[in-house]
Amino acid sequence: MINGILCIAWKEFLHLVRDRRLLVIVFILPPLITALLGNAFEVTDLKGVPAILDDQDRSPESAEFVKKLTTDDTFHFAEETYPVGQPQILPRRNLAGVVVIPQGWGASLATGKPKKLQLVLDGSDTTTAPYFQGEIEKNLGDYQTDHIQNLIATLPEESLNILAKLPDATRDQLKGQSVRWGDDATIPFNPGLRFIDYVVPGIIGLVLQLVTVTLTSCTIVRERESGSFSQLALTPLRFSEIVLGKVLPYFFLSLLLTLEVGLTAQWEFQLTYHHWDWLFLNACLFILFSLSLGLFISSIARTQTQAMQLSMFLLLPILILSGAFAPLSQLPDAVQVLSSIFPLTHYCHAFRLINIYNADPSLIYGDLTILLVGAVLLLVASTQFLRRG
Amino acid sequence: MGTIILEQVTKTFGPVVAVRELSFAVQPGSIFGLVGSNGAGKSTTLKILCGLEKPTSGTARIDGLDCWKQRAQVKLKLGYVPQSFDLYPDLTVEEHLQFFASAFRLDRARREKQIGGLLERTDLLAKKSALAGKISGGQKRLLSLACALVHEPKILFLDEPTAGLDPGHREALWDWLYALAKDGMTIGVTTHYLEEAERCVEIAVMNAGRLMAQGTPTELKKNSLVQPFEIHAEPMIPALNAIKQEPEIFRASLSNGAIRVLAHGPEALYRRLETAWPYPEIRCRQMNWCEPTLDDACSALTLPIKNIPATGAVV
Repeated sequence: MINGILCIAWKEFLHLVRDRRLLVIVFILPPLITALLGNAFEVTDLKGVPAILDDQDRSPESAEFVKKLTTDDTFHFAEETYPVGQPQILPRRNLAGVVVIPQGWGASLATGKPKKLQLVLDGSDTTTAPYFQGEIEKNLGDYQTDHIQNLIATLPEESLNILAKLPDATRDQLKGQSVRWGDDATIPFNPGLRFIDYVVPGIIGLVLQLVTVTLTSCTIVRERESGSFSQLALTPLRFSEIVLGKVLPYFFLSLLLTLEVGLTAQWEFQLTYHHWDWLFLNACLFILFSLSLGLFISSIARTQTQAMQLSMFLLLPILILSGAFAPLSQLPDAVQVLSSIFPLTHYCHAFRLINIYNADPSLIYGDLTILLVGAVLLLVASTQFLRRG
Repeated sequence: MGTIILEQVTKTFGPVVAVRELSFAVQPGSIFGLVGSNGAGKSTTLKILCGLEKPTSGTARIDGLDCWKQRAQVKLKLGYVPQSFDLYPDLTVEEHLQFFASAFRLDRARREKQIGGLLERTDLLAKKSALAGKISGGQKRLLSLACALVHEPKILFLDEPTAGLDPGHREALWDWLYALAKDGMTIGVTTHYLEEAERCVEIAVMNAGRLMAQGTPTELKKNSLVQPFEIHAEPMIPALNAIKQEPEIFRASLSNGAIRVLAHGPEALYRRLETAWPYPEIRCRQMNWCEPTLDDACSALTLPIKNIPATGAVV
């Protein structure tokens, strides 16, 4: 058995090392994609969001608020007049929103009936629009708190005397209302709230899965097309030996790839890995599952074109529905059930448990078992398909 | 040993019957040709014998072993050179032989001896480090044959072995096959080239999955269903085109400066043309009967089934 596997593995290894274009694709593209995707996901705090700030009030209050807004690096404001009723200016000038301080706003703050700021937001970008609104409201809240503090500080002596006569409880209540309420958050996991830490297993898994599945999905079908598979089938080699022998060199190649992609992520995003041993085991089983999936596709496809199409049709839902880039709990129940058969789902889950939650390795036994069982089932199925011709 | 026996073998692919109740036997040391047009069932028959296809019914045996049920043992006895084997272009000549020797689990000493011998026999010793993708078409064919022989099989099957080969490589390949047969190897060859088939000791003619005739090339010619005749006419090409329009004729071609005619009811046609030559613009100088060639004999047998004469098959 071992000799048969090694015989095929040696042949596949020669194919691999002599295909220079393939080696370039395998070793240059994956770290590049990792760096690109990582940088795309790394930006969580928006900076320099382009917007218009139209101060129609021109009062000391509005000037003070404008100063506050323009020193917030979330926005990059153009202070100009907003042409009312013409929201098309947003896409035309690639703006995320408009802030209008209405005329009389400053004066209205002292009347007890403050005028509202006018915001015009581009809702097509569902991330930026709420973030934009939140930041404006935060600035407005800060401004209001400062305003209350100033008001209290400038109260006349008589008013202070009246306040002094109030019961202690009422006075404390008033004092509590005049300061900003807050919270004291403890973030034991991913304390830096770095999205990249959450998304990095998805990126590594995506790159590995793309490369492994597409590489192996053509191995058998290529031999079928060239006629060499008949020659292989006529040797005493068992189909299981052919299948395992084909997986073996790709497995080692994928391990190198994992190392390369992992180090890229570590270097580019200052990522810290915990429990190298468990992460390595998780990667091994994930690669095995992915290679088996590629080989299974290769054993059922009749042409290389068919194999590539099948790979794409299978990979697309896996990449989107595996929880690689968004929490699985946000997906509908039926999709969650479906996603539980995807290797990337379990790879990401186990990776996060180990690396973000620093969890006890026993918590990932389930994921590892599913990856192993899936790989074995696919290898057996591939062998059966080959045997049937 | 190296006996091949097929008994009532039928193979269907869905509604298509590729091989129909095929029976024949080949004795050890023979060179056996399976002849027929494309789609006649030759390659399917070879695949059944190699254990690559399961017969729908009937049995194929090699040295008493069932080709499907005992294919693991059968594989050790045979070598197969498929029609479309392109080798691995990124493996060297020697790596090909090493790979197949390892696949057949040859020990180191036997492996080295076999590979050395085959490299010498194929004249590829100087090219042993060349990639298979860089050697000539003829050398590729010889290499694929060497790969099939590396484990010293008792039986060798070749599917259209000389397709696309130049005459020099064709001769070299046939010389090698004769040498192998002399050493006792049974060789099965599929071809639709009749001049190729004539090199075989025995031939089976297949048409639409059926065995139409079996025998030596001489026997097939002797028992031919057709009686060809030649027409010497001028000008030649217009004469050929005109003759082809005669409804009885199923084949007319230029051969040795004359028009060679195969027809249903050739005597009647011959008499009609002789007594009343129907083409005034063409001069008929001479007509004469001639001996059927293997090509003539097989042409009649490999016509569409409905056109085959009803009697006289030599199965």
